[in-house]
Amino acid sequence: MANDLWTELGLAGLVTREQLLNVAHAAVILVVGLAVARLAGMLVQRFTGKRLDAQGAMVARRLVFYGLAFVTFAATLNQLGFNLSVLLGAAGILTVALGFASQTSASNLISGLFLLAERPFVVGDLITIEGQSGFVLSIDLLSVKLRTFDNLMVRVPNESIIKAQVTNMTRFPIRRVDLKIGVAYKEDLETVRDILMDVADRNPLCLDEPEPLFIFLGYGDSALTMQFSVWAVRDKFLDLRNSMYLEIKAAFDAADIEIPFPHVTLYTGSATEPFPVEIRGEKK
Amino acid sequence: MSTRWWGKFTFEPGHLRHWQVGTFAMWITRLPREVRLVTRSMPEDAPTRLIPGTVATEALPEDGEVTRFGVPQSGSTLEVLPRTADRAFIFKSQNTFMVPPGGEVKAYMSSPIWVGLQLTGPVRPLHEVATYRPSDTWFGPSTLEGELAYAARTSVRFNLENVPVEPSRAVTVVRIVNQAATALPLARLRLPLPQLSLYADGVDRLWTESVILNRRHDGDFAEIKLTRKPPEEAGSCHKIGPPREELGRHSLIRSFTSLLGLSGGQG
Repeated sequence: MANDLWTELGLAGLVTREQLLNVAHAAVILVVGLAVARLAGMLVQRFTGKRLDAQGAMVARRLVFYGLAFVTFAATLNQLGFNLSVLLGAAGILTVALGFASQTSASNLISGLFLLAERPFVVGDLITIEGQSGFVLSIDLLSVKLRTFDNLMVRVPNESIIKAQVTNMTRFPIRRVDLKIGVAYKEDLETVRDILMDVADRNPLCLDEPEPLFIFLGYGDSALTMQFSVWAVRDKFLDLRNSMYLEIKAAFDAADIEIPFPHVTLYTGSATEPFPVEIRGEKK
Repeated sequence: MSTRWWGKFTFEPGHLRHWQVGTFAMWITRLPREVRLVTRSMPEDAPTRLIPGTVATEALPEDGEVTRFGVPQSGSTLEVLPRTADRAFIFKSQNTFMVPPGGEVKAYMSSPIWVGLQLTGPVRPLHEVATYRPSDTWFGPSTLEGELAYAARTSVRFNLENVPVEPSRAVTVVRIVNQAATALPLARLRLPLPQLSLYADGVDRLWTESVILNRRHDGDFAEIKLTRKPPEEAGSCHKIGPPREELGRHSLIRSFTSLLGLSGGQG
């Protein structure tokens, strides 16, 4: 009966029923295998997430997923009747050919492995690469994905990261905030320094130790310039920077200390009189 | 007038109660299905007062920090309780104080306390706030490793009479024993307040259990021991609050620098 149906459908001359069953088996192996690989990866991530950091758990998940996926593909091909040893040999040649054809991808791949081994940053860190800052979303085989402060996703190829200077802003628990300040030439620097130290002392986010640092930078075009460096817990970096600038301005205003802006003095030589100034107003 | 500002307080519907503990002021009112808390911290040099949760007739102040809690309709009792700080405190001595070899000193330290608020029966913690927000500081051998702590405004005192008596502060007595052959310079001292219990004496002054720091013969290590009882200076006391966290066994012997901060400032 089944043979009749087979013949009626016109498939008898094209594929045998065994071949069709093999294809069906292979499809089942592929679907179930990939589902199992995905499930196993998620379970491994959940299990290792309690013991490892986010990046370690992600790497563990991918290792398990790709390993099981490879076994699934091998089993699928075997079910379809392919000779795996021949295929692997061909894959070697294919790899060389693909390597020449896709040098950039291969370079990114190798760089990605170096990044995973060196761990200059992990998932969740805030980093700056070539002027682009963002939180690390993932470290993939070909690229690193960043989420910028304005919520954009930036993909940076691993090869670029290996070559570029990377700044990790969340590696260490505390950070220094460097405040650039200028005061008028008439001001007393000792008084200015005391006021700055007092502002730092009153701000609870400013760490008592390491102690704040006052550095006189020089005689600027319009102001005496200085750097006042204070320390903050890394999570409070922006809060401290903003609050310090606000409090310094308020403290300077209260003490009548002038924060100058660029001045231009017009001078026509020692022999000249000052420029005559005439004020005109509309007559009512 | 009672000086005890903690304990269980009943609230009639719409009633407002007012606390002031040192320079920290707090108002609580019980509304239908809601507890509303208003807190206000005054400058450190503001005059200190004690208002122990008296029923107030004025309106809730508008210039404080408002926090609202959704609570069950039933139950009109709230518990206010003092807590030790949630991080260690770092104390400095005004000048380097030396403990000679084989000698021991008693140091007195005063630290601000936190105010906890919780529902009663069953107990449900609602909120916690510092009576005075201390400045953060870093305590460790370098900027790469260490712990976040609070910087104490008051220095280590070696005479109890010099320790300010305030309702918003608790006093800790630390006995420092130097068994090593070299003098011990006391520049900074880390007080593990989250691991200390709170006690109140007969006049409701707050104390923590006393601490013993013992620098051993080899000079490199020190033991920290909690006596699990109030200091003898406190007289008759009763315990009013457990420690936030237990002192782990690994904490009993620590490197000396981590206890006393012999290293200088970090660059």
